[in-house]
Amino acid sequence: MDSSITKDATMEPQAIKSYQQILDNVLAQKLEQNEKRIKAITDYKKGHKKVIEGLEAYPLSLSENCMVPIGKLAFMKGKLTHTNEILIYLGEGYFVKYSASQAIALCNRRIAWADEMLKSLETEKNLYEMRQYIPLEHDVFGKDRKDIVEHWTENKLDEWKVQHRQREKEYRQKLAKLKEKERIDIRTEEDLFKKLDQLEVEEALEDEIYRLETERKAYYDLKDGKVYDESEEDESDSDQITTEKIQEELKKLEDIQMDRATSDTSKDTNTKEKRRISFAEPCVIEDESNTKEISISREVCSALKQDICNESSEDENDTIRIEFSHSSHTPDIVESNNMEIQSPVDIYKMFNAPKSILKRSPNDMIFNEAAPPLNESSSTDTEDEIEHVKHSAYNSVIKEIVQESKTSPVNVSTEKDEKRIVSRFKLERAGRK
Amino acid sequence: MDPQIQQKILQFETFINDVLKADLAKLAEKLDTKNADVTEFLQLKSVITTFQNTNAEKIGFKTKVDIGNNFFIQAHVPDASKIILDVGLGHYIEFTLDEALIVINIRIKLLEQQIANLRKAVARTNAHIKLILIAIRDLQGMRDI
Repeated sequence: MDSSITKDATMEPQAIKSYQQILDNVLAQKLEQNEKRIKAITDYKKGHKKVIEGLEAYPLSLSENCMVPIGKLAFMKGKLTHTNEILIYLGEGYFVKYSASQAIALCNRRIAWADEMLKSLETEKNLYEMRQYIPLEHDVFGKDRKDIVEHWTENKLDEWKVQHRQREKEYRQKLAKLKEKERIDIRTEEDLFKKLDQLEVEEALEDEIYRLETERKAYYDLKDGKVYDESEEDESDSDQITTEKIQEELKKLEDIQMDRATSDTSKDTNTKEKRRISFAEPCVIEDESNTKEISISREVCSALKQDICNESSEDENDTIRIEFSHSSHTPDIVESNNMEIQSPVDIYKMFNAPKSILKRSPNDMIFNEAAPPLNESSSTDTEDEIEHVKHSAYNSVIKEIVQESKTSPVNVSTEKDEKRIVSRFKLERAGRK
Repeated sequence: MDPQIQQKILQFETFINDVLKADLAKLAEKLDTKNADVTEFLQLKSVITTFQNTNAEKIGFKTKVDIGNNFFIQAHVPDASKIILDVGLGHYIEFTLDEALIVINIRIKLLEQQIANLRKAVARTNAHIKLILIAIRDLQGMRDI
């Protein structure tokens, strides 16, 4: 058995060719037969149609002149009589005598049958043509075709059957178990509620996670802005190479940043604060967030970039890392009222409350109220700065960024909070209890 | 074996199959049609003689006429003394029964001659085939089997 299979598998191309030829011949023959039959049946149909015509005409008159054929080669003059009596040959030596209308009905039946036959013959023809066409199309008899052979012995089959039965058993058992479980789970109302509660908790957690993610993003944005400011500061402090102009500029900026509180302290911090913060790409952030870019900022950025290159060349990874070292000096910071942010310290004060990641952040609402609309703030700021300093635009830009980054994420989060409504189901339950 | 001889054998065989056997088939077909015609005439002759023998010639007769697909209608022939005969090429001539018989006899004779000729032709082609087969056998060196 095996040997025969292998023999088939390694069939010679010539043998395949001969088989192909045989197949082609058979199909062609079948098609020819089919065509013949189609022709015969169409003729049959046509003949019956003519007969119907005659049968419709002859009974109209009592008798009709005609040539009576005597054999194939001779006729005699005669008359058709009894034109409404028609003898029909049914085959097998049986005749039936019909009236003309009955004969017409018979003809129609025969025509219907012929139509049916023609239809089936047509499908047969299509089938044969398809069979002729498919091997050509898919190159079934191509040269490098191989039979798909699977060696399979009785023993193996038995083994497989046993295994299959076992596996099927296991599967059924599992299924049954699962069903059982489900049934137990939702048998009582309590169970149902438990399950629903569980689902709800899951949903809440998901929401929380999503919210946190967005918050985190916002936090980073905020940080970036802040950091930028600070870096400006130490830039001005530490870097001796930067041009005097820039230094002057920056000092002025810092003045504004400290927001006209006490110029002394701000100066003090300027000179003595020794914080070193570097981060990956401040310029890029600036560019992205700000369209009203000013030349000064660029310069500063470039200077800063140098700094970055020197300091944190190993920080060139795609993660934004901030490195800083505290100075020994403890700056004496002016007490400021809680509502206004004058220095980064204020920000910390306002939002320092440690929070669980699962709880709603408390600063959401406060901050939303505190933060003025974006456009207004920027405009007012610029106005103020124009009054005080000439190069105020830069600072305004910075501030804008800071505020933007503060407001936008918070808004998002609050919106989300509002959206997170307790489910109606839960409310109902609470009400019932 | 000599390749030339082999080629010749092949040629002979193709000649037998493609020419002589085709001729034979054609002749057989012709012979069949002629024989059919003869039988038709013979039948007609017998019918006419029955007309003459019975008194159908005078009083006419009844018959069934096929109007196609084996649907028959009764027909009555009042005057059976005259018959219209196919004389070939789609021409029909009206004869009396006696005249018709003469014509039919002549036609039958003619057909028989034609059949004899055809038979001869068939025999000749058969002989040709046989001859070539013998020649092939000779060429293959299988004598006197």
